[in-house]
Amino acid sequence: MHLDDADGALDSWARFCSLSGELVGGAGDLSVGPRLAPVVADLCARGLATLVRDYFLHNLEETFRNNAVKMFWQKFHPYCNSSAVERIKFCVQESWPEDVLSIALEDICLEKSYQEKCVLVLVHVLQSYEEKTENKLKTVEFSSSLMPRYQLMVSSVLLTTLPLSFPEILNIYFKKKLEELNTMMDGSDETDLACHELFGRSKVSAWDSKMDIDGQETVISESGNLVRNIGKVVRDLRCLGFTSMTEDSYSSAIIWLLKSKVYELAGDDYRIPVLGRVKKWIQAVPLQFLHSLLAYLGDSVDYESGLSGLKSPLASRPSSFPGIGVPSEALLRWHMRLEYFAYETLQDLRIGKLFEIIVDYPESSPAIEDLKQCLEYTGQHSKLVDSFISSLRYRLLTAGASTNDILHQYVSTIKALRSIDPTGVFLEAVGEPIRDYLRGRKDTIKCIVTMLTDGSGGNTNGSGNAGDNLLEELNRDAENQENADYDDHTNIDEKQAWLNSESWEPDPVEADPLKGSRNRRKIDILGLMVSIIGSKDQLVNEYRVMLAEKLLSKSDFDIDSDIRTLELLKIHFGESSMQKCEIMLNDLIDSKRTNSNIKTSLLRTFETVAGQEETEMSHDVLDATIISSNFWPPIQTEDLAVPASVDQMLSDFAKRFHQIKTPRKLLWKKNLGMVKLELQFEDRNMQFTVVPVHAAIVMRFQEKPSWTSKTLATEIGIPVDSLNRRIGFWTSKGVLTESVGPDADDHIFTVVDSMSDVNKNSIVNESCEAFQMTEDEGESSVASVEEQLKKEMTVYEKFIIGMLTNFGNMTLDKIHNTLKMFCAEPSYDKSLQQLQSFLSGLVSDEKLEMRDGLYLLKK
Amino acid sequence: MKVKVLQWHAVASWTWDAQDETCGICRMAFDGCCPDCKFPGDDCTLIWGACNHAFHLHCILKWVNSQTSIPLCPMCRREWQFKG
Amino acid sequence: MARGENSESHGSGNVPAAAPAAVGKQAPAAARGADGQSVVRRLQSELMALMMGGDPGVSAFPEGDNIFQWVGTIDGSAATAYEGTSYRLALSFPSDYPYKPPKVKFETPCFHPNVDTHGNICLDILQDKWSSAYDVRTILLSIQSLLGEPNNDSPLNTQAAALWANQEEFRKMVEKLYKPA
Repeated sequence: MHLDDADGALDSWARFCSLSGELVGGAGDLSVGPRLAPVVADLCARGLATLVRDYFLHNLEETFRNNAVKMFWQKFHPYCNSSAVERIKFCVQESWPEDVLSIALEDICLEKSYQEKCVLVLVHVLQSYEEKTENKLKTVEFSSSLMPRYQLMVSSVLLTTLPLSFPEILNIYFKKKLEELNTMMDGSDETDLACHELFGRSKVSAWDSKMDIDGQETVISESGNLVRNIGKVVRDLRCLGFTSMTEDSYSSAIIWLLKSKVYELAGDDYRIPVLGRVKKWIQAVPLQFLHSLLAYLGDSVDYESGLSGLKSPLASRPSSFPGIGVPSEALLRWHMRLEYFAYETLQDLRIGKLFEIIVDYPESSPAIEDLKQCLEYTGQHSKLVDSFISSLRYRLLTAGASTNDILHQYVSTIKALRSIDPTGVFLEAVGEPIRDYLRGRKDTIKCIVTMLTDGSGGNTNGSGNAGDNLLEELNRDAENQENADYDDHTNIDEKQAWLNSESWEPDPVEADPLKGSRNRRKIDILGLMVSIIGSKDQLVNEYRVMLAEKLLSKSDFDIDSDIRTLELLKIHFGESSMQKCEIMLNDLIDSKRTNSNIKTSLLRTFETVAGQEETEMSHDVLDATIISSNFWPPIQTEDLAVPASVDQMLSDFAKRFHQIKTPRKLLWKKNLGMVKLELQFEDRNMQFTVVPVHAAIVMRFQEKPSWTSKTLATEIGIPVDSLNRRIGFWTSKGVLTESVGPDADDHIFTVVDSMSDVNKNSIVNESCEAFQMTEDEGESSVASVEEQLKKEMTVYEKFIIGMLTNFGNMTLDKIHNTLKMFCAEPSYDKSLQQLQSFLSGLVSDEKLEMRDGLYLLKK
Repeated sequence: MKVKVLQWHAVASWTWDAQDETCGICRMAFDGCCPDCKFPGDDCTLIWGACNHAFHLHCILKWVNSQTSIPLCPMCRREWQFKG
Repeated sequence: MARGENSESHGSGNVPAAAPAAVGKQAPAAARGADGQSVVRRLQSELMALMMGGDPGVSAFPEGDNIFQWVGTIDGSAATAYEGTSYRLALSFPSDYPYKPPKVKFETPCFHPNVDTHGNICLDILQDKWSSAYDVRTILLSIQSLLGEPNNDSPLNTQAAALWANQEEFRKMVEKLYKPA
């Protein structure tokens, strides 16, 4: 060898160039190898190994770039160069981009594999040279680094020439393929289901199950082909260096498909559970796909090792998937990732529709159960709270919503959320805005009491028994609960504790929901309702007022449902709180008995004085509710002169009462009660159920057909304006007509005795309207709660002055506690803040003064 | 026109018709009941003394039984005798 | 007069430690039995009547959380030696009230023929002339009128009884011994 021979070197170089050109550019002819060996050896011996390698790689690069790469990208040009609109046209083509992509990949990989062979030729040449020479250290690098350098070159050429929309094309490809796979599996799922439905839950016969398996197998082989094809594409892409781009593409396609699957399954139907089906689908489609793909690519060899050290929610699940066997670690990671995404997606979907879901509760409880599981997994409860509060503000807590609707939604919210969050902490956060809002409404207490105690208004969404009230429902729930966990002794204690507690106070929002999960507090719907009102006393008082009103407008003594309600209220509020209500109901029971006693004795007496029947009213028509007025709410009495015949009846009745119950006497409240009348005209009869004042008015028209309002008012002993208001009832029914009298402020009312334009002899029962009427007029026989409130405040004032007289000075707290302790009737139930503002009022009225945080009497 | 009353459902309250509002012993209303009773009226009756002072029956009995010497009316200190 | 009975209650003006606490409007202590509830109710209605009645110059209110223990206040009536003074009293009700009278004594030192140096009062209606028709209000009004019209036949404070005839000197002694709360 002439190592320092420049000509020899040039000659060798020229030969190397031509030989490598022949090899790289040749059409698959690798026979240049033996000829290349001496040339390369010569050049290497001259220390030109680097030059050899670089030239060779450069040569490959040029060829690859100019032929294969150019051709490869050209295949995608039609798509890359078109506008966004036109691209859609590509996407709808069934075989796009599959055909283009697989052909392009096939071509370029063919070219690449040829070039790799060329590289191997040189590698061999270099290796044999290296084996011969002693100086191994330097040349070892060249033979072994050639292939990696080549791979690097390929991917860098491709990446530097990559069109921007190539990742998009890949994404479309994977989406389409996954959808295809999904439809394939869906089809199999459906036949599976159909089969089960056809044969019910009974054992499927051997023949059927064979069919089933056969069908399943076809699908699996079909899908196997599909996955193999995808696997080939993935492998080719990886081979070209698009490893991470490919993974990103199919990952995002899987996620996209999962998302649309969750949306499709979940939809707007809240009556079916979705989560199980989503999870099943994850195993059936994306995991099968990934399993096959990883297996095809040879990635999932670590079957056993994957399970160790994986402590996750999955750990509790069976570690083998149907049709997969023991999963690889990569697959397990995928499984976790997909499930988490599914939980989160479903959770967000359900949270977004939580308002509707709660409106549909309890029909929507499957959706609530799903949401509960999702939240347990993701821990994103605060998302629920924020989103739900804002939808409440936007949709429920508005002037347009009726108090009843708000209350019903509140109760549904409590019921729905308590299953998601048994500790009640999130419910507390969500409930606060509702409660705040309700406190600002005047009819809240009334609505709550109605909802609790009234069968018809209690449950509008049809669940539970008809005519059930909320109280009844709560009671049933409690009974079920107690039967269910009979060993939970805290139940009884809790109830007792509740009864004893003076005022119910919710846990703070910050309360740790994980704390004491063993003795977690049961969510007490009634307690939450009471907390809107402020105190149970107020609720009981309102109930008493409503009960009084109801009982006083009854025309019979049927109080079975009220007794039942009272018993339930006693359970929740204690017997002594309900004492007055109990006496009221007892009055009705006593009245019924007394009535029948008195009536039998009266009828017997008057039978002996026979002959005066017909015109005289029989004592049989009179019923009386006799009340123990001390235990009823203050009752509004008004003078009323009832017709003489009725008056006679009343006094006969009262006399007899006095005889039976001596020395007790009866005091009539003539404006109260209910009267059923039949008006008999020349050409028709009409029936009405009215209050006594209406009866008194119309009965006067028997004596003479026309009355001026002034004389009529004097006759029946009520003010003229009151008469004018009430007589409108009869004019509106067409019984009386109104005309202007001698004075401008006096009216003449005349009975309409015959009415040609009304159906003859029609009997109209107007009872419903009559009730409506009394309500519309705002006539209430019982003093309202507000009036009673005013009275309360004067009592508190006297007590405060009384205690300061004897104690000199007192702090706010001390006054508060003393009132709580000793102000029994009305019992003191104000908050410290309410007391403080009341005291400031007394200070500014100069009744009290305040010094150093102490209140004292103003001298 | 004639009006036929089919039913007249009236409302009345009862009273013991004692001169005073409350029982001098328990301070509860006569028309209410004594502190030991749950229901007024038949269950907790009034009683008059020869001196015409009225008390809840249960209250005056307790008073009479608590006296060591001849029982007097708590109101007028005359010897207590039930009105015949 | 039952003086022995009165002196028994020396120094027991404050709530005895054994007295049941927290009687208020809650259920009475179980030990008190069924009668406890009726006593509480009677005392509550008395309190209510007293607060709403507003008699000038007399007042009382339960102390602490025990409705069986009250603090009373009496203003000396005009045109008597006690005009311009205001006396604190302690009233302690037995569990068989009103069938038995409460124990009443002055907390503010009071120079009076029927009041001893410990504040014990000699007044027939609080002893053998007690009637269940009496109440806190009538007791306080009786004590108020006793101030201006002492019973000098059976004095607890003989010095005061002796001085009563000289109203000017008596007034000076009242002022000298008066230590308002």
